[in-house]
Amino acid sequence: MACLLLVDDNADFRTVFQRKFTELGYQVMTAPDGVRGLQAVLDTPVDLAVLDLKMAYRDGLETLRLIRSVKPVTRVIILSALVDEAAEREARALGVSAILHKPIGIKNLAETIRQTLAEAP
Amino acid sequence: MTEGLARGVTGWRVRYWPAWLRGRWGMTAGLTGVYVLGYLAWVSLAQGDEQLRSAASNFALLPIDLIAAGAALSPALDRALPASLRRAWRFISLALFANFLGDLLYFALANGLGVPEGQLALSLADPAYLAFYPLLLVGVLSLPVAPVAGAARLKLWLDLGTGLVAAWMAVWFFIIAPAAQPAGPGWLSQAIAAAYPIGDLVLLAGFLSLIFRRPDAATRAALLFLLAAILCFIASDLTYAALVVAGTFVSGGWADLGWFVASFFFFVAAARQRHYSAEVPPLRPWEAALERLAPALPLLAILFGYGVLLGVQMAGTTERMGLGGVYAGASLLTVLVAGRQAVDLVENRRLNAELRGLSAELEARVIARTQELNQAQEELMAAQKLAIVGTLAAEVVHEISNPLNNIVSASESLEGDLQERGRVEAETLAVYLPIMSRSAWHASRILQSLRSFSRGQTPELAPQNLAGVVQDTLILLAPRLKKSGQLRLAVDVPDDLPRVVCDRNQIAQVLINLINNAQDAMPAGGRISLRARAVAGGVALEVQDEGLGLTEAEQARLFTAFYTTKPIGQGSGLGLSIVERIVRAHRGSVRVFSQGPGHGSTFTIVLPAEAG
Repeated sequence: MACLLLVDDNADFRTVFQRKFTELGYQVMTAPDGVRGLQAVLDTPVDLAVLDLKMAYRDGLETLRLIRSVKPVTRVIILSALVDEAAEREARALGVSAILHKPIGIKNLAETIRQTLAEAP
Repeated sequence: MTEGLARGVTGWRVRYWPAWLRGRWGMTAGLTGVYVLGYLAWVSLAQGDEQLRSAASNFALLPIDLIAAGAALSPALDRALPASLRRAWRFISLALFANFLGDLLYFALANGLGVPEGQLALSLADPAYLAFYPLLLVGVLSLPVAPVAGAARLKLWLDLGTGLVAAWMAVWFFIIAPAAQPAGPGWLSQAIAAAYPIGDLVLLAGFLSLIFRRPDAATRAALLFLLAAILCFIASDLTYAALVVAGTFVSGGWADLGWFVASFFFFVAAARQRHYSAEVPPLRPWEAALERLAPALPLLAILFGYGVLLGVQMAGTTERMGLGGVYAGASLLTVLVAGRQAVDLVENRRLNAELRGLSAELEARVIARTQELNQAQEELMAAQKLAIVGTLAAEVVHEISNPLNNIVSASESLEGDLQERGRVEAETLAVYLPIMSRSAWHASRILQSLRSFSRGQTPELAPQNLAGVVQDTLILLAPRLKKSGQLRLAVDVPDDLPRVVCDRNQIAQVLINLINNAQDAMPAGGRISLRARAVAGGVALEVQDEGLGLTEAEQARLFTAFYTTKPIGQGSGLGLSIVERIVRAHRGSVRVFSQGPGHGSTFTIVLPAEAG
């Protein structure tokens, strides 16, 4: 089964995500910031990473850039709580599968993740 | 060498020879000057026959008279000049032509027909001569002057009267009274001779009125030359009259020199007037001196008039007619002085009342203006607050999206479980429910502080625990601070500080402004320290950054509205002025301290503690 990574500084959301997607049969990893998120990408074969854009200690965009440089094939979904058009444009240029805005809920997110994984990387 | 000399001469001309006296007019002025100097030389050297001297002198006057009269026609006909100025010069020209006609007739009678000069004091020439005075007076009075009205006009006439009466006293005693002696040689002719000094007095009065009435730029241009001309003319007239009264006048003497010089100056005045331009030149030194001298003239006239009285008394004259005139003049002078004082008194009273009115009006305007300013500042504060809310909005959206997302995700998970299995495990609920309630409370707390912050403008002063205020404010600021990862906020606000009387929202606004500034001062990140401690009479709140720091000049201007050290487009320049205003309204103080550029800055606010 595919391996998912959630990088988000919101602990409660990490908990819900972990539980739900484990239940759905994914292998799930979470990280509270970009530094540890990148570490996880390096350590394990992550199929899809969900990145929050705004975090302390290396934000989502910076993490995305680093992921692209070390594991260019990893699929990435941006999950952002704010509308920052410049950051989104840059993320799109770096090649992300989707950009989602919070609040999105778990059902829509699960559907997007399923579709993204179904496509060729 | 010749070239150098020519250049030197040209340079001298450019520097010292006035621009309005070049070309034909300059040439004519030069020739006329030489002509007058020639006459001066001739008068001092000529020892010849009396008849020849008389003829030469009377003839010599004619060309220079004609040149002056002709020159005066030029400004009179120049369409480029204002109409009032042209009118004035028409009369001056007419006066000069009348003078020329008088001289021509006199020459014809005395030197052509050989009438002895002693009998010429009453002749055909006199009507022409006597026309000169009123014509010139009308001309001088037509020159444009600044308008005067009311008390100023009255004072003008009183001053004029004073000058005139003083001059009259001398002229009366020395010329007119002796001339009217029936025992003298031909009293009618002597009376006519006395008419000239009277004409002179009138002329003098007209001219004084010009000086008193602040001549305008057009008049000022030629004023000095007209003054010189008229004074020379009067000097010759008075000498002539005195000599005629004494029965010793003969043409060709020093007495005639003044008329020559007068004609020369009339010519120069006309030349100057032609070149008058509408633009107002700055007051030249002599003009300024004349303006300063004008107020002193009545005083000089008074001294002169009483001097004549004193002189006559001391000489012990018994001449009844002469004495009577002098006494009458002195009395009149006294009346004029008293009148002038009275006018001044009334005017001073009026000015005082006006001044009081003005100061009252000024005061009212200051009050109104202060109110307007206060209102503008209130509006400014409200606007800045709105701007803060606007900036915070994005952060608030972010901060509320997260808990909402948690709630939606958790509830959807539970819903999914329920649909799939018909029930939810207690263990699952135990995980999700706290997340949901925690998230909901978090969102509501953010909304709460935002709402309280954007509430009305009226300050609501109440005793507050500063720690609580700081905490609430930091909730609003948290997302913003989190965004810049390199920024650390160290907060040290003890819970047990004395309570301060303040408006929570306004102090929040102060804190937000100060922390925003601290953040902007550290583009590369750093530490912001927020400390509070009890001080004498209150609580000191410090916001310290490790940023760019401030020069002394910047510190001095920092709290001025619209002053900003931030790059263009980044700061409104209002933040600190609003901080200062809010703190002042709280009877507190705000200080900035920086050791200079690169050493960071510390803002210290002291708020008074709750009384008792």
